[in-house]
Amino acid sequence: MSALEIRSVSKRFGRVQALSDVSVQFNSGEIHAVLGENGAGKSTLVSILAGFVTPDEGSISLNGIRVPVGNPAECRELGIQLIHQHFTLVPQFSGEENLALGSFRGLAGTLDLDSSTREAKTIAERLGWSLRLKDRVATYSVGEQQRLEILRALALGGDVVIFDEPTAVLSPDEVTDLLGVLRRLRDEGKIVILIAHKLSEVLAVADRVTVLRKGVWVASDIRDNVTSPMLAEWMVGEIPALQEHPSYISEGTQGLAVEKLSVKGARGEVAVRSVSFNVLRGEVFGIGGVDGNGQLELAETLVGVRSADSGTVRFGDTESSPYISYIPQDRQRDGLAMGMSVSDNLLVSGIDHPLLTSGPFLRPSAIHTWANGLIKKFQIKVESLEARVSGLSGGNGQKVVVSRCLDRLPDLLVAVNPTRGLDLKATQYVHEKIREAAALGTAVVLVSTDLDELSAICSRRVFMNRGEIMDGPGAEALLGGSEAL
Amino acid sequence: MRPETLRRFGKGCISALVSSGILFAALIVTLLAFGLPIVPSLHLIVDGAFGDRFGMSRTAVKMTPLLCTGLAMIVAWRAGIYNIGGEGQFIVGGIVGAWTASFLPHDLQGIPATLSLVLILVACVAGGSAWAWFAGWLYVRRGVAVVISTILLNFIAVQILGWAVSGPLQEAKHQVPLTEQLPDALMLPKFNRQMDLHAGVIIALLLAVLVYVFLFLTKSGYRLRLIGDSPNVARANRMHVPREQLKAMVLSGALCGLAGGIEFTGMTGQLGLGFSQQWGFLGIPVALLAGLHPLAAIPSALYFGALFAGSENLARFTEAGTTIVYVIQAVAVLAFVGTRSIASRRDAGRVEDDSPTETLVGATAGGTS
Amino acid sequence: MRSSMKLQYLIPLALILAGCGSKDQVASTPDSTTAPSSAKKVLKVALLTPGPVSDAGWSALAYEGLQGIKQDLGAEVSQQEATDAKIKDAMRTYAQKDYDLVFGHGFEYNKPGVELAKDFPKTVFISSSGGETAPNAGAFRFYLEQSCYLAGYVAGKLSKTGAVGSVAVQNYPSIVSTLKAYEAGARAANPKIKIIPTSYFGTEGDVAKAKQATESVLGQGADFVIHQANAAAQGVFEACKEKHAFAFGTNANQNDNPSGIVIASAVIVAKPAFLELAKKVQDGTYKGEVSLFGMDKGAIDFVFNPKLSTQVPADVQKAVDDLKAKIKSGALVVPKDNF
Repeated sequence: MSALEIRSVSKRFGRVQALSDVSVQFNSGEIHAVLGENGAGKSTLVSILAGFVTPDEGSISLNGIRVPVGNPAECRELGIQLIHQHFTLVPQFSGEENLALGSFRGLAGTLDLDSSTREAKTIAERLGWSLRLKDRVATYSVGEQQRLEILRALALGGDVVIFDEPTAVLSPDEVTDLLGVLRRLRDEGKIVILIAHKLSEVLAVADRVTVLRKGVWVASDIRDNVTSPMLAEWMVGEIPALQEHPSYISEGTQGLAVEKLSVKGARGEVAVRSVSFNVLRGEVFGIGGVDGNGQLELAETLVGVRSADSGTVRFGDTESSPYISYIPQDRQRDGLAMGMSVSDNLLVSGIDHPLLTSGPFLRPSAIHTWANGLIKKFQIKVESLEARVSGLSGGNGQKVVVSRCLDRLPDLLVAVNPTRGLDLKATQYVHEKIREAAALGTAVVLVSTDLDELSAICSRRVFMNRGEIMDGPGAEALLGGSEAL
Repeated sequence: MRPETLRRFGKGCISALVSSGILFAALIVTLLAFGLPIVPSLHLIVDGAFGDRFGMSRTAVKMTPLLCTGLAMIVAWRAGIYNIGGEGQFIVGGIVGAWTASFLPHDLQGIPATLSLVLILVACVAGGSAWAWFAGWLYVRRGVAVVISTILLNFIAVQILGWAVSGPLQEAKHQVPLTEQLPDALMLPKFNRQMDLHAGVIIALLLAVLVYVFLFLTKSGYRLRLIGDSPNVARANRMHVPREQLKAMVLSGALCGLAGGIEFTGMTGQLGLGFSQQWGFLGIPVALLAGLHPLAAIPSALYFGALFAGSENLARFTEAGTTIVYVIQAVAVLAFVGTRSIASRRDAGRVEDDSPTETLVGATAGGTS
Repeated sequence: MRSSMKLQYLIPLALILAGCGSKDQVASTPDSTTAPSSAKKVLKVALLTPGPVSDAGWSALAYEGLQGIKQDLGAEVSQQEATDAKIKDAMRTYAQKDYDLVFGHGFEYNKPGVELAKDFPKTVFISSSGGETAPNAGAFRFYLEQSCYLAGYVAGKLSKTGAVGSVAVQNYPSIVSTLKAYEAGARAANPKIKIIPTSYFGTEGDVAKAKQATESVLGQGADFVIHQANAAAQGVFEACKEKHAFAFGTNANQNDNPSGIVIASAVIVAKPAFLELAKKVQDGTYKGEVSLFGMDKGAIDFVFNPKLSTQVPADVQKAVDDLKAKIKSGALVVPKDNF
């Protein structure tokens, strides 16, 4: 029985510890699923196994023989084949020509399509696949493209096949087919490694499961020993209890009212499904859940950046349109204009401030005074107002965003992962300011994947799963949702 | 002075020294390549640009269209929309202006000359902005890259010009491919009959100040800069990015059209196939040398204007011939682009706002020769 | 990047400003003092051409004329290419530099010259062809029609297909007039000759287009072609060589063209005209006028290619010589358009 073993592997990218001291053994004749949330270290692990990334520490061995690290060609040679999440096919080439790419050794000589694709064709026959190998790959469906990708990898030979999130782009039927292929490969005695984050698929096909969280190995066990709630808890950690907060909600104040809201995502898929909830003034409403379940689309719809597909978003007690502030998730991308000055970045929300403008004109001296005031009030460390915001540390950059959002007390504040990437002190600071705003009467919607954060400052929290809101505190809701997959 | 400001000032000085050194070296190499004696040639160039009041006037009138088109590029590029169709917008502005002029009564009875002149200039502005609007609309509504559409619209504009000056707008005798000469009363005022200096210079300088005020002291200008620097931040703050970009494009086209109008009513008085001496393209290096700052565009345009006036003088009094004018123009632009890309490579990691510019300039530098 | 850019312009500017400051004084002093003509004044003559003077044709012959002025009159000369928007710019520049005479080598220089003459009364502007005048501006015209008439005559006599044609860059009036004379000559030699309409190729200096245009003329049966293609003449000659037709050179003597099919050239001899006008300007006797330079003044000639003399029967040579004499004496007036 052969085995692929990784021992004490660690990898750090800049300030981020992507993997720390991870050891796993993958056995032949087994489908071994590696499970984790985004950022858990799955991709780093795959890249190390395939030789694209050199680990800082640790070693890999195949059947007791040490595998050289950081050399993709040699890894392939030794029989470790990776099926990429994003296909590496040339759309303008025919299927046959794409297969031939895999066996290229150099640029010299002539191209003999028949001999270089013979192995792949034999495998295709064995799997019972009929592919239109003479047609251009651009005409293939996604499932067909993936088959071609798999064929090309298998044709190179070897005992280890790694599938990196293979189901992400497939239709349900194609997923069923693929899982069949995985089982078949296992029965042939190969080491099959499945990188995934969907519990249902893992539970359906895996023989053994390993869970990573924030770069750390959490657990490994055989399929029969694990349950869905167990896996979910391993993935996201324990859900801390809500902390008690004094209630600022005064009777009769209405806040945000969302009714049967549906929103389409960037690719036209339904991202938010008929969601309804209310957030009162003075309340911090937390929305948790694994990334990519519709939270971002929901938040963008609430602030008016994205338009709703159906349903309504209303802010109750004001006739005039409410003043809404938005702390976006990606500070570098959506929060700060990196090429502009601190002053300009503060002005993003002040542009409609009557004191800072007169008619179509800005009032530079008023803006200067105002910006200096903000910097003092929110303790932002900057060299000068004219310095570029790109020179600020992450924490100070986020303070710029938070300060401009909370300068004039908003009716509604929507914050998405407002403390991601911040150190402890800056995190506490941001939490404090959000609580303060709520205390003064702002309705706050906090979207976060960090359970600690939700527990720390929310008065109420729900979880989002596949575009729907799962009500109620505690883990049951999330885990119930996951099982529905 | 704050330390930050001091540090930036120092860095700017060094960078200015380096790039001017390289520009100067490029000029010397060009002279050597043409086998011209260095010192007398430099003397001729400086003399042609600033030697006497005539030279200075020549420099000023060459600076004028460069400043206008440079400002046009600044407005568009600041909004993150890479308009390189200045040439087309300049030409279409001129065509619409000449077309309007052809309707105005020749004896000027009934309409005061100044009003007619203003009408012509307004028509030029309308022409330039319409041409730019079309490219902007294609981008906003149809997703056609502005770089591509503006380049192609440049070619179309040149073709329309060729058709117009040998067709509907040709002078009455139909002898040469030129439009009718504008009467002096419809031309921008001149300060001296013997000099080509005209009031357009003042308009251009005023425009630089206006564009500065617009970009840095108005709400619209601020929105435009924010959108150019970070469309995502603008979007997250509920600004309508495509609409603002379209506005910027139209404004940019208006400036190019006005540049065409000033050239038409100030210098040429008539349109021919060579109406635009690449003024639209040359606006790009002017804008880049100015660091996309409207006030810095004044010395930047002055520099290029002087270089061109000087090199024409060089061509006139040496064996090198007219070719050297184009070579010096092209070398100046290329050397400048070269220093930019070296500088941005040195600054690796902070090139995010520069990278598209490099490609663009690379693509347009060829157009200047 | 952007912040540091702001200062980049300052230094080159400072350099130039510093440079010009000193130049200004040096350059302006002699300018202001040379006005009185105490010493023998050096004549200053400039020439503007529509194309490069290396075109072995229209622009080249004017350049020869300019060199003649330099040699014979010891004048200070300068030459520049200028078309379209640059014409006035260049003319004004020379006038500002106190040039006495500015030649514009083409019809298109006539009007700008007349206009600028008002602003610069001390400078004379003369264009080759064109009809407008001012006290210090005018035109002169080469009577090229005379030799084009002879070319037409030769073509009419020698054509085996009975058809002759022409190729030109644009239908400028000056060009059209010479082609009309060519046609008249052909009809005089053979009343039944077929005249293929002129093919205009439109782009100055585009050899490929000129060749195409010639091919179309030859395709309609012509075996003799005259051109007004200026710098693109090579395209005409190549097409003729491939189709075994003959061509006439124009403006300059193009008999030596390597294609070997230039049977004769309608030649402008520029020097006499340029010299005569420059002398008038030097003596201060120039009045705004349109002067004509033809065979009588030695400014126009028609030259057979000696290498192809076997192709031209003696009687045709004789007839051409007789016609030349008649033209010189004024007995034969070749038709020309006024423009």
